[in-house]
Formats: sequence, structure tokens, C-alpha cells
Amino acid sequence: MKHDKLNYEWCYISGRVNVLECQLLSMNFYERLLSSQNIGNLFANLNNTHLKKYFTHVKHLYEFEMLLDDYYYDRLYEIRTLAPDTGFCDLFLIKNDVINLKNILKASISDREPDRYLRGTIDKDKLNAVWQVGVKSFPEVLNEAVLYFKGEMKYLKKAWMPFIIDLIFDSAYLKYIEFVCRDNSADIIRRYLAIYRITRVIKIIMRVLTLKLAKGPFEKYFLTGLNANNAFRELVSGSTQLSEKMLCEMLVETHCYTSPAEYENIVKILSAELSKKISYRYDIMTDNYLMDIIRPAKYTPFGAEKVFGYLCGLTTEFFNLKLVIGGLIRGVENNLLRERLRKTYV
Amino acid sequence: MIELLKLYFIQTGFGWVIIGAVFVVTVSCIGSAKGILISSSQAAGILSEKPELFGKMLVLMALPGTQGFYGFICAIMIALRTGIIGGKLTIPTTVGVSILLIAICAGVVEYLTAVIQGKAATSAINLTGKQPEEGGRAILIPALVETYAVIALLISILLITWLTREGGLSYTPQTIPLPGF
Repeated sequence: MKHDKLNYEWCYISGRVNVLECQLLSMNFYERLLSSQNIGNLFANLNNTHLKKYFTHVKHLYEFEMLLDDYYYDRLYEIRTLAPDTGFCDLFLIKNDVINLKNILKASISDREPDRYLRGTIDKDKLNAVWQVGVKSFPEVLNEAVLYFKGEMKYLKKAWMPFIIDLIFDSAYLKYIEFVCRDNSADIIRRYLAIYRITRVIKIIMRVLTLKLAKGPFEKYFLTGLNANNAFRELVSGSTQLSEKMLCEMLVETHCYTSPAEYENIVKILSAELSKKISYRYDIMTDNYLMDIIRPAKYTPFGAEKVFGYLCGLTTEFFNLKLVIGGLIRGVENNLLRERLRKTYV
Repeated sequence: MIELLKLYFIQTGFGWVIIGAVFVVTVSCIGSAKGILISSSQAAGILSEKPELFGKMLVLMALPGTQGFYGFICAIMIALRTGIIGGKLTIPTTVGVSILLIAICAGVVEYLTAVIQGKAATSAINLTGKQPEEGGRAILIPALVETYAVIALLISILLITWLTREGGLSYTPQTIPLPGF
């Protein structure tokens, strides 16, 4: 997938995104939402936004997940249809395809129906075809991962399967991001994806270390393709804590080491949490850092980065809305919700 | 054929002048078309969400189109001053080549300013899309680029006029009627 479309081919969708950006909700709005005294108040607050066409009655608040899914995926598919290159939107949707695929495989191992289906690039009915014969529209690296898993299946213990399915497909998805990152012509998107990738790799590694999961399969299925002296490997191999030197090596390896100032920033943010257990704070910090990276894209008049920036903003909004509405309906304490809110794009 | 080429390109500058006129109008029009493509695509995206802004967007969409007209004016000026319209070969080779150079420079400037103005117009369109009340001020952003297109047009008109006036480089006592006219 090569993003070699001329910048002005993005003009139409950039114009549309420019208006849609104005509808994105700000941090002040979430504060207002959090200060809602009751369900009626929450509904009234939502009714003052573009979401009013989804929430037309108070009872709709109890179906918020479905309605917010409609809102998010309608926008995503609309932009995907209008964009001259579908690559960026696919990044958000293929993540769901990977989750769906993992769910199907895990469900088939334990002889049960998959519990949920997230909307992606492949229909629910066609997902089985990915497993059986492979689908052309699916990225090559993910089709390869399916083939690889098929080959390995007979050698694996049943109890390990879910863990190894996660490792193989997470690794394939991160490799797919690497390809997108390499092919991309917009600097800001390249940097975003490179840092996104490293944060996710570190998260997976730290989770394996924290949960004390078997390192053998992890090395074999997740770290395949990395050099023997790779910093990620070192991190896995022992009780090595993430040092600044190691982080620097990782950043150099993933081509996102751009300036000393930026490096210092990443180190400060990541190492604050990495010496301890991975917690929700790590996700918040990395998500916020990634948002800071992509935010300048909104000042670009047109181009792929403007559209990508909006999609990142929309994804964050989708997350924040689910968090706040879900939390308020279930009576979660405001402060707990507040500290989990991600920085917004606008 | 060789005789004709000699007549148009060596004995007179008629051929050079024709190439110059065609070049300036072609390149300027291509630039304008590209500039309008950029600005109008962006405006169409905004209008798909806010159709009520059409009036404000129209001027911004059309601004990069002016360079095409400037190229056209330049070509007409060349045709008028060098005798193409009159059908007389009164232009010496040196003047013909000079006019070709002027036309190339004017054409390139008009092309680039049209494309750049298209890009500047997208910024203004974005601003108008977000804050419609700022539409009037937003026009100034691409209009500033227009200055340089106008300067290119003016200087090319002046140079063509100076080169082709009587007593200037173009002065030539004898006129050769065009074959076939």
C-alpha cells in the first residue's frame, strides 16, 4: 500500500473534515457532561451537540454503546469512501478485523460462538473465508499470519492457544503498521505510527513480564523477525528494567528518534510508568502523547495528515464518550472517570 | 518547409512570437485550472456540510482563475503589438526571441501563482468554513498572491510595448507580407 496520492486529491475530503472537526467535542464539554446531576441532565447536555440525532430520547442513553458505534463507524466508512486512499481508515478498521479474527479462532478452539463482532473491513460472513482461503483485500502480512498459525496449530498445546493467537496476530498487526508507516509520505503520520507501534510493543512486552507468562512462545511468536541483540529482546530476556539507553535504542530502531528534545519527552513519559507495572496510566499517557503529536495536523489546509488527524480525534471522542456516558449511567465516581479521560483533538 | 522556417525564425521573429503567445496562454490556463481544482474541491467538501456558504465560497473558488485571463491578455497583447493580427511580418528575430522569453517568464509566474493561490484559497476556505463571519477577511489571504500575478502581467505588457514601439528594437523599415495571407 503506497500512499502516493497527490496532496490536492485530498482537497474534497479535507474540506469536509474541516467542518466535521468543528463538531468534535472539547474537554470543556466532557467536564459539563461529568457535572450532570442526573440522566435527564446528561441527555440535555448531549442534545446540544451533533449527537442529538442519535440520542433522541432519554431511553437511548441505555443503548449508548450501539448508538455511539453507529456514529463512529458511519463517519469512518463515509471518510473511507470519499478518501482517495483508504489506507488510513483501514488502519482503524483492520484493528477490528484482527480482534474479530482472534475472537473467532479462540471461540472455535473452545467450541463456542464468538462473543462479539466489531465492524471492520471484512463482513462477519466473510471472516471465515480469511481463515479458510485468505481474502485479497486483507493485508498480506495478516493473511501470512493466518497461514503461519495454521502451520503451527498442530504443535501447540490447547491451553496455550489463546495466548499464542494473541501474540501472532498482535505481532502481525504491528508489522502491518510498520509497512504503512514506511510507505507514508506525510512526516507527521509516520512519526505518529512509529511511536504508536513502539508504545504498543512495550505494552505487550510488559504485560507478558507482569503476568509472568511463558517467555519461550513469546519469543518465538512475537519477537520473530527482530535482531538477536534487539532492545525488545533484551527487555524480555531477563528482569531488565526499561532504561533510557534501551528506550533510545528502541526509538532508533523504529525510526522515530527525530530530535533530542523529542527523545527526552518520550523517555520522560514512558519511563515514568514502565518501571512499575503497566497500568491504565500508561495507556492514558501514551494516548495523550500520541494526540499531542498528531494535533498540529489540524492546522494543515489539506492533505492525508488532516484526514488522519481527524480520524484520531474521532477515535478519541468515541472512547471518551463511551467512558463518560457508560460511567455516569453505571454510577462510577466522577474523579475516576475524569482521570481516565484522554486529551481531545480540538 | 526550410524556407518557411527561415522566414519565420531567422529572417523575422514571427515564429518565436507565435510560440511565446501560445505558451503564455496555455501555461496560464493550465495553472488556473489546477488552482481552481484545488480550491473548488476543498470548497465542495465544506459545502457538502454547509451549503449555505456557497456565496462566500464562490469568490474564493474563482480567484485562481484570473491567471488564465492574464495569460490571455498577454497573448492578445503580443498578437496586437507584433502584427500577427495584421498579418504582417514586421518583427525582427531579436525582438521575437525577446518576446518569447518574456512570454515564458510571464507564463511560469502565472502558472505558479495560480497553483499557489489555489492552495492559499483552501486556507481561506477552511477559515470561512469554520467561521463564516470571517469570510470577507479570508478573501485577503489568496488575494495577496494575486499581486504577483498582476505584477508579472504588467511588466510583460510594458516590456512588449517597449520592444515593439517605433524606434525600439522592433523598428524595421521594410515589411514582408505573410505568404498565403
